[in-house]
Formats: sequence, structure tokens, C-alpha cells
Amino acid sequence: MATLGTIKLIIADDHEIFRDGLKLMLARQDEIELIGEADNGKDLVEMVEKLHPDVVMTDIKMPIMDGIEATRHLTEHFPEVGIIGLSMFNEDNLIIDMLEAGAKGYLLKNADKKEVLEAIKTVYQQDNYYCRQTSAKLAQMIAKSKFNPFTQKVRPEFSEREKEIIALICQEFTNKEIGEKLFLSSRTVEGYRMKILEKMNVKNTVGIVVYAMKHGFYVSPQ
Amino acid sequence: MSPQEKDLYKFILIIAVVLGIIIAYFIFSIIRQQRRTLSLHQEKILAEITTLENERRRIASDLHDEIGPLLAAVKLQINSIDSEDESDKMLIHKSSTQIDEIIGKMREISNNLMPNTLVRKGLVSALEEFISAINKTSQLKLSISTDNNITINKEKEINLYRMVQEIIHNTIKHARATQLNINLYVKDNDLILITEDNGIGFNFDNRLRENSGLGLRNLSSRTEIMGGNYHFHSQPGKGTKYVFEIPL
Repeated sequence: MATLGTIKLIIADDHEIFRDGLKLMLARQDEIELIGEADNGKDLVEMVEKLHPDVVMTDIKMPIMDGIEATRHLTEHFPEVGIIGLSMFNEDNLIIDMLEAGAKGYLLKNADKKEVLEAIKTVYQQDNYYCRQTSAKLAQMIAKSKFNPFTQKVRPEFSEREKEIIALICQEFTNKEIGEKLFLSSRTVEGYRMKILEKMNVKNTVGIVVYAMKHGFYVSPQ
Repeated sequence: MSPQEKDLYKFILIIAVVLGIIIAYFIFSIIRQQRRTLSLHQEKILAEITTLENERRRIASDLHDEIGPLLAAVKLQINSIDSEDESDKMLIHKSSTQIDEIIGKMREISNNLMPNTLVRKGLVSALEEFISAINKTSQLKLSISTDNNITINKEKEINLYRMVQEIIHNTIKHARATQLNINLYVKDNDLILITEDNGIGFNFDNRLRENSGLGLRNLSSRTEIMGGNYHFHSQPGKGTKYVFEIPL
């Protein structure tokens, strides 16, 4: 039985060695309890029905039933379960499909431990998580997709300076470069960045780009 | 005319007709043989290109589906080592970064072998992506204009993509150009691809004879198997223009 406060997790991937790797890494985390493993989407759906996890991490390409179809099914029947899509490289379109199917986040399979844990906890709290290694192209694709996680009624206000910085972040400038453009120290820019992250309730730059584009703060040149 | 003469004429006539038939038959067989050789030649090129593209696709998907997850698993395992020792931590961090680099390289290789965008979103998106990547790293400035609704089959898309790639690589390597414009549009029942650079140009026949003409051969083979036509205009000092007409 899970103790109070632990996050119950199921993972699905058709590569056993990858599941073993994840298992090994999570074994030392007290706040996360791995309650099941599946190697295809169909088994995953059955397992969720039986075991009621808090979070599911699933590969996208799997035999019998893929992660996208499984996500669609789970989102419909178990909307409280947070789903994280796992992707290898060059799967931008599949990631979009996952998010549109109802996944709350995604990770590249070579994400490091800290990020995997952060993703699980974020999604557990019903927030969205975008992998740090997301390319600018993918961030724009997410922003243009049907996926829209921003349903909060009260929209935060942003100052002109913040809007300026948001636009520069979206153009892939670093804190240092933004500082040089606006005659601010990079630490001041970092301060603005933290405040923007907090106001938007996102975890990283990718979140800022998606938020900014969805709300019209930034329009991509293409 | 004496009966002997008549017979002689008849004889000559018969010989002439027989000879005529034999010669006609020869000409006919030569033409047939030539057509057969040409179609065999085209089949051979088609088979070569198909094999090449299939192999590329297979290697790309093996890298992605087999090696990728293995490496990711190794990274997870290394990451699960909980050591307090600083040098261990450094080693874990270094190994993780190296695995990321390998995965990054694999991603590049796999994308070169068979661009994901080409497979999923088609020729125009793939070209735009390739061009914006080149624009970021190269002195050569590329521009592309295309019709929005170009619908051609996957094989032709791959061929045209490779051809544009070839032209861009040629231009970077040989042309000393600063600008290359690419035009792709539909006219009547043909897809027209025109590329124009402002480089130093080259002598087409010389290039084809040299070994470096391999790229040009690739362009003409791919055009040929799509049943298309092409012409090049290039003069030393006046840039290079390629025009391809590919039936839809």
C-alpha cells in the first residue's frame, strides 16, 4: 500500500531495458511508488483501470495500442490521471498528437533524473510539463496546436518591461544577451524570468514560449 | 525483252525485296534493342534509388527505435547512482553529457538519412526546415518560394528533396555564391523546380566528365526516373540556373 503523500506511478514502454532503467532510478525515490509496468497501450489501459495510479509515463510508439490512443482513452475515462508522454528524438509531430490527446506533459527519453522527477511531480499537481530540451520549433508547434492548458480565469498582468523580456526569451536570447539589449544585468533579467515563470505558472523557457504565443505576446516570424 | 532478261529482272527484283526485308528487320531490331536497353537502364536506376532510400529509411528507424532507447536506458542507470563522492558525481555528470551528445549526433544522422518532416509533413515543410538550418550556418543565403498546395507522391517528394539538397550542397561547395533562390510551382500538369544562384558558374560538360559530376548525374538520374526533363544554364562568371519539369 502506498503511504499518504506518495505518488503512484505506472510506466509503459515496449523496451524492457528502458523500463528497467526508469525503475532503477525511481527505486530510490521515497515520494514515488512504481505500482505497475506495461509494454503496450492496451495493457496500460487495463492496468490503470485496476490500479488507479496518480501519474502515467508512457512511450508514444508501442505495439498493439500506441501511447496516443491509450492517452485518448485514459483522458476520457480517468481525467484525474496525469499523463506524461515519453519520446525519442525527431518525434515532434507525435508529441503534438500526445498533448492533443490529453497528455499533461512530455519528456525526451534522455532527460536526466532531476527532470524526470520534476515532470512527475508537476503533472501530479495537474500542471503541465514541457521537456527542457524542447527545440524552438517544437515550442512553436505546441503553441499553434489545439493543445491549450491555460484555462485559468484570472489572467495575470504583465508590465511592459516583462512583455519586452518575454518577447526576447521567445526569440531564444539568453539572460546575458537580453541584459545587453536592455541595459540590465543578467541577474536582473534572471529575476524577471523567475517572476514571469511564476506568473505564468510554468516551469521553464518552453512553458514561457507556449504561454506567450497562446496569449498573443509573441508572434513567430514564420 | 528476251525471256532471259525478264528472268534476270525478276531475279534482281526478288533479291532486292529480300535484301530490303532483311535490312528493315535489322533496323527494326536495333531500334527495339535500343528501347529495351533504355528501359532496362531506367529500371536499373529506379531500383538503385529505391534500394538506397529504403536502406536509409531502415537505418534511420533502427537508430531511432533500437539504439536510442538503449542509450537512454544506460543514461537512466548511470543517473540512478547516488554517490556523495564529488569525483563520482563529476564522472556521472560527464558520462550523462556524453550520452546526450551521442543521442544528439544520432538524431542528426537519422534526420540526414530520412528527414522526419519529409515523411510526415511533406516536401515543402521539409525544404523550409532544411533551408532555415542552412541559413543559420552558411554564408550562402537561401530563399524559397513555393505553391501552397503541391500534391505529389512520396517517391517524387523524396527525389525532389534530394535534388534540392544536392543543388544546395553543390552551390555551397563550388559556386562561391552569396544567394540561391529556389522556386517550386505547378504549371499545367508539371511541377517546375527552378534554382538560380549568383555564383561563378561552371562548364557543364567538363563537370560531368570529371568525377565531381557525380552530383549532376544524381540530379539527372532522379529526373529521368520521374519521367521529367531538365536543363542547366551555367556560364563561367554568370551564375547557375537549373530548371526541372516533372510530370505530376
